[in-house]
Amino acid sequence: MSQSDIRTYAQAMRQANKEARATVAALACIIVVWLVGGFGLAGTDIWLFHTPLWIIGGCVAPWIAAVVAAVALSHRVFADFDLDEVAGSCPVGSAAAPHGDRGADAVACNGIAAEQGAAGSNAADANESGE
Amino acid sequence: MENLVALVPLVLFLAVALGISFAARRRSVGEGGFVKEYFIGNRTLGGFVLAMTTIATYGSVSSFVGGPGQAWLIGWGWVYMAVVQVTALVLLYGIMGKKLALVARKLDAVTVIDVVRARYNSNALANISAVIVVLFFAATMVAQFVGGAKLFEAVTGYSYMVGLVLFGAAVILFTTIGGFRGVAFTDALCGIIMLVGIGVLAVGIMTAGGGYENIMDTIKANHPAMLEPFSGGAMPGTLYFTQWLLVGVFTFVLPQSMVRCMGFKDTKALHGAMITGTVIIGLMMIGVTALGVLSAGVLTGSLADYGSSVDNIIPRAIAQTLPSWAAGVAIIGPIAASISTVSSLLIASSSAIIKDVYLHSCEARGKQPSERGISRGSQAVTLCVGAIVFALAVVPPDVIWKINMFAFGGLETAFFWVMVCGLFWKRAGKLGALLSMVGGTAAYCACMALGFKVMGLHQIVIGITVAGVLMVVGSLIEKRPQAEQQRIDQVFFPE
Repeated sequence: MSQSDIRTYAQAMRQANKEARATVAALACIIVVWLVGGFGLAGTDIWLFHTPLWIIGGCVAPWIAAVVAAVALSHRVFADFDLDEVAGSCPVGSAAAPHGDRGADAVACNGIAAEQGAAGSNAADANESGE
Repeated sequence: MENLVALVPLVLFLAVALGISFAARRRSVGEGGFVKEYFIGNRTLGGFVLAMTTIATYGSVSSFVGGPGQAWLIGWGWVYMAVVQVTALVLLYGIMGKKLALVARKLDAVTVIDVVRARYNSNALANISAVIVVLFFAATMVAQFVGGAKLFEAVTGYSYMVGLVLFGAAVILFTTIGGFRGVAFTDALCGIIMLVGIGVLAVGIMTAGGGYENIMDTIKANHPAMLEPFSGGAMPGTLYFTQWLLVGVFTFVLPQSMVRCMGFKDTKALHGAMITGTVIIGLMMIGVTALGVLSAGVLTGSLADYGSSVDNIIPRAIAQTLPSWAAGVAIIGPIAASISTVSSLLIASSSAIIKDVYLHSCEARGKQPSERGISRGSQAVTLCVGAIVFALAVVPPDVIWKINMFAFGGLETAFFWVMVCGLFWKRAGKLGALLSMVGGTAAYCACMALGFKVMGLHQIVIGITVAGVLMVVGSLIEKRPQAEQQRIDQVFFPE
């Protein structure tokens, strides 16, 4: 996916969900490789390079599978987009909130998100003082 | 003189790490606010540093000492189990990476607890999270200090205290000075050094054992069960299952790992880190654990011959197979693993105290501490936490390795459902999260204390199950005001 496809925060969050689902699917594949390569080959009496085949299948193959999964996810599923732009946050080095906190400057920079964050934080104080 | 030669590489390494920390501190001057810089490095981590700091934080001294020692005893089955760790970075970056990066930017969040507070709109949950983080991190840090100092003593011949003072003081100092950015850069250095240490030890073991083929022949002749996945009953299926959970699947919710997803600069850095990191973590974890097995071709005695502790195997292998100068280089690997874990936990503990508790309480009371005050306070807290942990490590407790694993499981139990449901389940609410974190952690701790297990499975299974049930029940029975739900949805579940 090209960078230009994702412009809004909602699109970016949907993309993040898609990436998370794909990652779980990749984990399932790695587990299958681990099971088949290790326990699956343990019954065979085949040796390669002075090593039982199940050791190569169980210890090296899952690593290769994880690397293949990382490459496939990065190139086929994961999307490049500007995190700061879609989240509407301050660029590094700008006059962000002085303590990196949700102060007035953050509201000015982040707009509704920071305002809402500050509101949420204050609401938490109010809610829990009454709990 | 021999001992002094073994000490030189370590002292050089610590000096370089300190220099990097000073450089990181100088480079950060003038960029963004202090808190954002000190605790998250202004979100400027590139791909390589991101990968290395995550790996170095994840890989601890027990990955280099306890694990390979156990592999010496058990055989290739232990390596087969250790390989589950290759999924750690794929899961962390794939599931949490973009989501946390986006939410953190949206909220201007600096810590994982910032995200928890905003998601569940609960200060109580945030404060409990901070307490859990500080307690479990402290336990882990003590374990790292003790493990590193014992290793130092065994290899160099200097006392435990000399080792503790040498690298304990260095790690506390460079974490205090460099903050998150300094920790990330020194972690990258530690990661490289860990690989170098593994390489040097591999050469030593192969040479001393007469080559790989000879070593495998020795193992086959002496301990044929070491070449079986169940290792003649020493590796039950339940152990494989729970290790998949403990050091594989659940590791992506460890706060010290998640915070790294809030510190990278762009999506390209994340994608690059996932590939590079998966290659390196496999090389490191499979490599060092396999060396433990191969050392059985060199250390052919019984466990009693090596002090009746598997923790003595790798120090003994280093001392026995390498000349002094090379042993000095090899020992930096595990000590770098220890240092990188301590530094990451130290800065995260400090952020929990300063950012999540102190600054938030100031904000709630309408107080605005000065930038200079926050700067000094943050460094003082980092120094104090480090000093307390150091003091606890002076008299090492016997059960230190158990405490380390206990802390690992406790953090996973506390944060798994809170974070996964918080980011991916809209219905998850404050009550469910509070019950999940408190109930799950309490159940886990109680079962660990009593030694209670179900079907021989590690207690994390009970903790996670209890935490999951409480999250679902609590979230479903809770009624939330629509306005609050809308506020949360805008950040976490935008349409």
